[in-house]
Amino acid sequence: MTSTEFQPRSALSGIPVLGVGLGFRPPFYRNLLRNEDAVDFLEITADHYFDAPLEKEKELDQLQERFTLIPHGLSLSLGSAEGIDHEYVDKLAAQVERVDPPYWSEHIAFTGAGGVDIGHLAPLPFSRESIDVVCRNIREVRRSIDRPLILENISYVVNLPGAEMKEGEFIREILESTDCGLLLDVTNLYINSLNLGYDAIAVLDELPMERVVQLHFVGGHWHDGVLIDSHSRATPQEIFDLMDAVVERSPLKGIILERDDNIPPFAELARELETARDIGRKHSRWD
Amino acid sequence: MGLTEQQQLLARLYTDTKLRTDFYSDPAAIGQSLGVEPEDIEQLAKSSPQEVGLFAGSLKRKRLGEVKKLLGLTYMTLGSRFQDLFLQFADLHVPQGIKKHSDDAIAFARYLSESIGREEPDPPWLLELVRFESSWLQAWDADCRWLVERFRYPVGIIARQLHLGRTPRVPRFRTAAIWFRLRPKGRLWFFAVPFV
Repeated sequence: MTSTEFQPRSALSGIPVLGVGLGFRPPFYRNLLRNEDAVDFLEITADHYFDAPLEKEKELDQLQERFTLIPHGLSLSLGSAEGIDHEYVDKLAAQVERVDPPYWSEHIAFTGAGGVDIGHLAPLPFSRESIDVVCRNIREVRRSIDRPLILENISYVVNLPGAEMKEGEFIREILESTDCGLLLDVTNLYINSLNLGYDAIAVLDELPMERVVQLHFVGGHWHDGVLIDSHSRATPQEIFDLMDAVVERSPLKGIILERDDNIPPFAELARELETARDIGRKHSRWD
Repeated sequence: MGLTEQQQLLARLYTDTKLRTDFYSDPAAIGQSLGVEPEDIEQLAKSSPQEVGLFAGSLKRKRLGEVKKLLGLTYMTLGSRFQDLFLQFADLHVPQGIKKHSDDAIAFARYLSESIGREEPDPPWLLELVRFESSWLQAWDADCRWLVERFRYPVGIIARQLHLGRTPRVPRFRTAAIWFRLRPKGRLWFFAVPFV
């Protein structure tokens, strides 16, 4: 199966093939400039460049000269029933404008409510009301940012009461209602399948695989019997196997390795990128 | 229960250890004291206290991970005590906004100074190092044009030696550290000079 067999999808149809890249973190900077060939594109954490000092602005300039950059938001809180923070949206919009990406990404989650910043991505109940909230917030954001948006599935340990459907159906409804793409975090899917006890491959049948634009992958660690999405370990073979199944079923354009902690020598990261690149080649997603 | 009310209560349960413990011990009483409707309390009480506690713990560990990076030399010096003290501190302070990790680290540095300040610091320059790293974070803020701090130890030398993996052995002498930007959001300059 090749990507041309999939039906083009409005806003997503113009997104080019990007290949395999890294979630940029400052410790990678020098190695990236020395190993440009190992990395096809970069994902940058949007929040890290808001109100940035000159040194960060220059860093962004250097990266932009060499790589396609994809802004990835952390705190837009698209699932907030209270609505979105317009000051945050303005900063994000300015950055998207500056970086000029083929698309940008955020999460299906909420990160704060009632004046309390949770500090991370919290799950939503899989309900009609949550779908309405996310869709309303996306419509609001689109008044400021007109680039295609892709949404990421999160890892979670809390099963909220009030679920009216399965997660796959929940994600499908949001993406189809808003014409967003899917940033399928293969590691999150794998972690949830272990922690919550379900079959990850079966979930792929529920998800809108035709909307997958990009993947995330990395390894996590075990803590008190729970697998944590800590972005701190090498990617295990099980996640590469799941990635293979995802790539086979989707018309994806890019894959990003997200390593935050216990950062190994760059050559190890490059090997993981090459493994992901081979999976894409195997399914004719790129040359 | 409306999603707005559910998220407001969840945000507090995720970030407030005492409220979480009290809520799952007696949901009706705590929910009523927070003005939550009885049927809404009943629904949220169906969430698993273990799962909510697990998520709350992961939030603290995430904060810890970020603060470890921002106060790297202090972490290197304090070792496992850094984590113990951070977990005590994490219940007292919930950081907000896009600069939350930096604000968290600065607030934790203040907490460390107060906690360790009650005893004889070991090594003796520890509190000065904490204040030095916290000052860097404040100066790094693009809106900060200048910052001047006085230290009782040569903090620049201590930081350099720690970066090189050495154990600093330095005499006590007073040092002025100066951070400045020649224009708003411009390049940050730093130097430290001994003074009498």
